[in-house]
Amino acid sequence: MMRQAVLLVARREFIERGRSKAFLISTAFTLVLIAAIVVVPTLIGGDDATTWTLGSVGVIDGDMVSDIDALSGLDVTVVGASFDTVGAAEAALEDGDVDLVVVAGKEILTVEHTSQTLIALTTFTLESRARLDRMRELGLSESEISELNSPTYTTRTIGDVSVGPSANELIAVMGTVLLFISIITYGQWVLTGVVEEKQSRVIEVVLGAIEPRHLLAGKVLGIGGLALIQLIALLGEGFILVSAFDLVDLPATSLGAAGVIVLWFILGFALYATAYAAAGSLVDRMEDAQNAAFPLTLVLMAGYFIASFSFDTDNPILRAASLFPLFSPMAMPLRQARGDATPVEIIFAVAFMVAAIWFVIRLAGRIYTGAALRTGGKVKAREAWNSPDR
Amino acid sequence: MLAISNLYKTYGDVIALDGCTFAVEPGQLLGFLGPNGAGKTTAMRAIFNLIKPDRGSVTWRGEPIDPQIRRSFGYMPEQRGLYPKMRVKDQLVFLGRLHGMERRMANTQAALWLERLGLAERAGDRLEELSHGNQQRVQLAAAVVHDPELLVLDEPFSGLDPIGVGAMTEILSEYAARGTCVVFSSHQLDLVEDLCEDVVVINEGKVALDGAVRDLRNATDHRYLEIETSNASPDWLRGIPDTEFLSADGPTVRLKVPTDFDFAEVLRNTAGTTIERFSFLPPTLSEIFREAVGQ
Repeated sequence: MMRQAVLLVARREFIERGRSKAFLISTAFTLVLIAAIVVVPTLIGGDDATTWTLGSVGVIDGDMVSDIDALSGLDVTVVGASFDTVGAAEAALEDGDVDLVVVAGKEILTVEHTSQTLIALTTFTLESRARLDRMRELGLSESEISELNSPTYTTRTIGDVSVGPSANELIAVMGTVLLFISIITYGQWVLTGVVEEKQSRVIEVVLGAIEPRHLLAGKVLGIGGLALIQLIALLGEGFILVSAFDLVDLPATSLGAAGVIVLWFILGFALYATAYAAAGSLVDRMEDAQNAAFPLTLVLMAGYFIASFSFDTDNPILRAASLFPLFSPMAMPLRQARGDATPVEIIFAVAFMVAAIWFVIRLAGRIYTGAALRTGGKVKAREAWNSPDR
Repeated sequence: MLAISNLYKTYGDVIALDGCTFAVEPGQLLGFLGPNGAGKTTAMRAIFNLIKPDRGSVTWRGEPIDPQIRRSFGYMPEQRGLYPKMRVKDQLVFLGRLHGMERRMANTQAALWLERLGLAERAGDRLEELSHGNQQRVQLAAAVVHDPELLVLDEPFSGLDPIGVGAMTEILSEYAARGTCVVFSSHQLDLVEDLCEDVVVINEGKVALDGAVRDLRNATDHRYLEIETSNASPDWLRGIPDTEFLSADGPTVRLKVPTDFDFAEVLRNTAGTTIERFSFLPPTLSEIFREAVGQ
């Protein structure tokens, strides 16, 4: 019956708020916003996906085009175009229809803005082919040719210096932002929900039937469940769009990084929402709700700022914050998703957090129980704590 | 049976309950009276564990009230309120289920109550869209939707129009008739006198009167004697031994007399005035109430 009371309250919160305009509009808006963040740069930056058109007088040599294409790298596509006369090829070059023209495999025609890389690649390809032909003319065997062509050097990449963020870094940053927004938004929903029950006086009817702690638990669970589903939907949308538009390679660990965001959302929400409920129980007017919750909001934002100043790199402040329960929900997922946190750090952060949640639930539960039925102005937290009617 | 025994509760220097003791039997419709601040709301809240008394006990059928039992009670607090943005029927189903009803049963009962209160067409509206009177009706439905074994209502008649009072009266009587314990507080003593056989009056946290209205009225040591005479100046009725001259309204005089008053005392002093009509009346509930609370 106790579990049923919690579930009934949770279900009410979930359904009533899930079909509220506020939820539907904010969800739709955020879905669109994420789509915009992911997709728009791809569409605008469409010109960057370079295509070089290689012109040739006479029938174009397909092998040459595919060789240059292979050398040009992933970002560039090289296509060929054939022209009957040198004049036609020059005209096309001037009009910008082609980027470079090879005349009879001997001469390269360019214009001022022709890519130096394309010129170099074409020159290199033509010379290689010429060299190969000469070798064959000299009667060298294929094995000798292969021997001569084998590289005399090896390539070694030092360090892990990558240009642009990796997929997991992207998830870490986007995820931390989403997580913070979710905790603060839905924490405030718990806050205003508690105040609303006091302001409308329905609290006395409800508490005539069930225990205060069950009402509190149901409220946090119901709103938290809604927030969790929204968060997963938003992360899922990000994943699908990123994959669909090939923005970055999503390694298998990305799902783990997203899981980390979800885990820390659950932990962070449990802590902050319960605390928000206690703050809300101290006042009985919506106007006073934000004031009552201000210290809490401040701590939550401090945690986020510490994380946001460290979006690029790991540092000692972030490391410390990631272990401190009030800040760890914002700091730790960032480090974990980025791969900066050691397993020991993660275990300690989660353990501290679970202990803090246990502590806050007891503290907030007692304040809430002591204050929920007190109306007519603000209640001091100390008075609520010591209330004889708990 | 609900038994409230020796409840004490203080808030700082204020004594809210000072040994309050009374009981409500099944089928009884008990009027719970007292001036403002007498401790009525505190006593009612104690039944629902909304406050914890410093001392004393509240029992149901001789047992302490656990959450399971409490769920079978119905409560209408003095401060009315439901979820403003929740749809009316959803609200009743939710509250019914909090009181332990199965979903289907809660749905059926909620629909029946809305039908009965003339709100069937508003079932899908948000509470805040209803008029004040209709919100009061929903509040009543919220207290009874789960068919409570004990119904406690704090000032159920306040703010109701005469039609609302009629509906409320009917429902309270109906519940008492089918064996529910019903207790409600009110300041409308005439209404209580019409509706209830039994009352409890508390003052300063203590029970000042407890019993059947008729017995309480008969048990008083005085009656009211109303005399209408043919003479417009009834001063001759002043100064009769053992009586108190209360008022004169033209030829009609009201005296307070002992229960065993001998009417011959009046006849002895008529001095030629004709007595058109007279009657002995026990005090009204309102008068008993005022005496009990010392005002």
